[in-house]
Amino acid sequence: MSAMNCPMSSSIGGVRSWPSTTSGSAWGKRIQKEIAEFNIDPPHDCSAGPKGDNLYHWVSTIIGPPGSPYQGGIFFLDITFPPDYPFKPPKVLFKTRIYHCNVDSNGNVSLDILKDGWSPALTVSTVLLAIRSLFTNPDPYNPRVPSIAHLYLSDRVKHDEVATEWTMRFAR
Amino acid sequence: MKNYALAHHPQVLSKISSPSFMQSTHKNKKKTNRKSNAKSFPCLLEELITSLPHVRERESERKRISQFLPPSSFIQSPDAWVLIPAMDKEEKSVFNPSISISFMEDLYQTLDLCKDDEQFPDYFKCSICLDLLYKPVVLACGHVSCFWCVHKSMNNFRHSRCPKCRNEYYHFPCICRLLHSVFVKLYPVAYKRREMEVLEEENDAHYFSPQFEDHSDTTVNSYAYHASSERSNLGGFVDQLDCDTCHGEATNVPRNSNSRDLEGDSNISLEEKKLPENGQVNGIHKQLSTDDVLCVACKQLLLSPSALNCGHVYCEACVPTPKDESIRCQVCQSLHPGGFPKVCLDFDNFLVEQFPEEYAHQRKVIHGSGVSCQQKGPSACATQVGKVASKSSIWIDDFTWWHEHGPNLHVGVGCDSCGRYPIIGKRYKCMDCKEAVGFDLCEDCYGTSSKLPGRFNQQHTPEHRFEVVQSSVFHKIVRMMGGQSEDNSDASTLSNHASEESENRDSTA
Repeated sequence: MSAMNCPMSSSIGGVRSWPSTTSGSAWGKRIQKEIAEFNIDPPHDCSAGPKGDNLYHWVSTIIGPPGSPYQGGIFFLDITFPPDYPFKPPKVLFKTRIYHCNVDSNGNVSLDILKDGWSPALTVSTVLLAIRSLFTNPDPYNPRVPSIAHLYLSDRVKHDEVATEWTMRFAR
Repeated sequence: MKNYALAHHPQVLSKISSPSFMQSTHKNKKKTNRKSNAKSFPCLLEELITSLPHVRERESERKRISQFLPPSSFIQSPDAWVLIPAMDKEEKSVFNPSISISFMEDLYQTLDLCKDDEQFPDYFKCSICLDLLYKPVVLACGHVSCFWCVHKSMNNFRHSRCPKCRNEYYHFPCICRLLHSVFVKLYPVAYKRREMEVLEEENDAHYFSPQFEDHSDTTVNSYAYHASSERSNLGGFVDQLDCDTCHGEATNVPRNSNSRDLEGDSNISLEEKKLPENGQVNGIHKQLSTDDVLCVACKQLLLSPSALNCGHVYCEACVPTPKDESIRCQVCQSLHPGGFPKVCLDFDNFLVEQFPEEYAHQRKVIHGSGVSCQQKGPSACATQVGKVASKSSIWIDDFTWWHEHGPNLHVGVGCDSCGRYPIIGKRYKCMDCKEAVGFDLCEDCYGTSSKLPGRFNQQHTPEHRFEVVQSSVFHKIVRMMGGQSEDNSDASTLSNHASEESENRDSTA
């Protein structure tokens, strides 16, 4: 068996990718199924759905969890699915500014499961849950913004104050 | 970093927070041509979702949906089912996407096709395609996925990991015929739908999964499928498949190449042949009998089923364990690489649910006779996988691995006999197989002249000639980079591999 020309492994070969229009392929269907499942059992305080006609581009919101400095904020995220999703992770971008050591000023998130730790068994809901847990448990040891991580480790109170202020300013 | 330091300043803050900053990224993407929907989409969707078999009976889930409806600070957008915060009008329009009718119909159609499905338990849902398992493959860790889902999620360069538990594996197991026949029996309509969908894709791609001849019973089911597909305006699609030459080619292949396997599987294929008489009619479930789920060794009800690489299922206690060599299947004599297989817990759950009395009895018999069962899989599996090495060590590990194996690695080429993927070392390529997927063997399997059929329904016969192919990783990567121009989403990872590879070349030179 060879995968070099095999469309089933276009992820590597790039020879042919599944058509990226709405349905038609199993993997487009997978996104459609995710929409349905997300609507049946949405993760707590999260919402998501396609932006307009494009199955491969979603808009999502996460409400800052209580007990964190992000409490009460509404954070918008853009989720873009690669054509070979679910074999490649979706790209998640914060559209709302947030003071967080794992999110940089362009909205990029440093999260293991969105890179090497991705598994095709993960879904949008698990990704959103992981991001939501970043709100309560930042990971200062793998930071996107080292200065925030440093402040988080050295002066937690100050860090929380700034984070709350940013939440009030940008995420209300 | 610099941005953030500046952003602490209140003036900068106010600039960033101004609406123009927020909107600038969205403005270009705003849709200009909006189509209006006759019926509100969320309503339609909710109607449809609640009519799906697995939701129908879950009133509690319905309540959960209603709980999720927006609190006062939220409004639900009229034509998107994203909850959006109530903001001023300008910003709202940004997040108020329009959904065209065709999009809606596509989604509706996909969900509508599943409407006639039998209800199947969650553990028989593939975690990758989120649908009923089709041509199930049991990995060494005991987790099950569809044939194509496993194949597509395998790593072309190095070891693959189980999507569920991240257990490392190197071999693409054969389809588990036993589970396959269980599904054919239990969920004929849903399984037929899956078959049609997958076959359509395979015809498009000209790559085929192994075809089994056990669908003689499915005339009833295909009729049911036909009816449902007509309702959703897909009528021509089934006819199209019938006249497709590939379809004919696909079904007659196993006769010549699969004979040995079929002999070995005789008890399974016999059961499958029984299906027409006791198969079910129009969605009334024919109870599965214990005869359908027997261990190939002890011929009793499977107790803690474990599947070998060849797809045969044994009780955990019946897996042949020679002391000095690796496990070999008693039925087809093929080697099971990589240690003792873990119990397939999903299948085990199913057996406990389906045959509670028989299973308890069987357990009593086995435990009474003093045969010690091994520890069950999940905990051991979880602990193995839980370890996460630090980044630097992974990098060093990577480097030494590439240094050692890179020159002998056949990227994206697997052995059609043992399933080793990718092949490291000598690769024997069949010169006579015409299929696009090709037929390859690793050195070990070439030496033992295995007669197992190909993994992708190739028409390979023992008379075919082989040639040795040298690894040309570097050339292939160059070629891939060329082919990448249409699809540059992987460009970064590929270039990483390429640079890694050239690094290796330099160091070896």
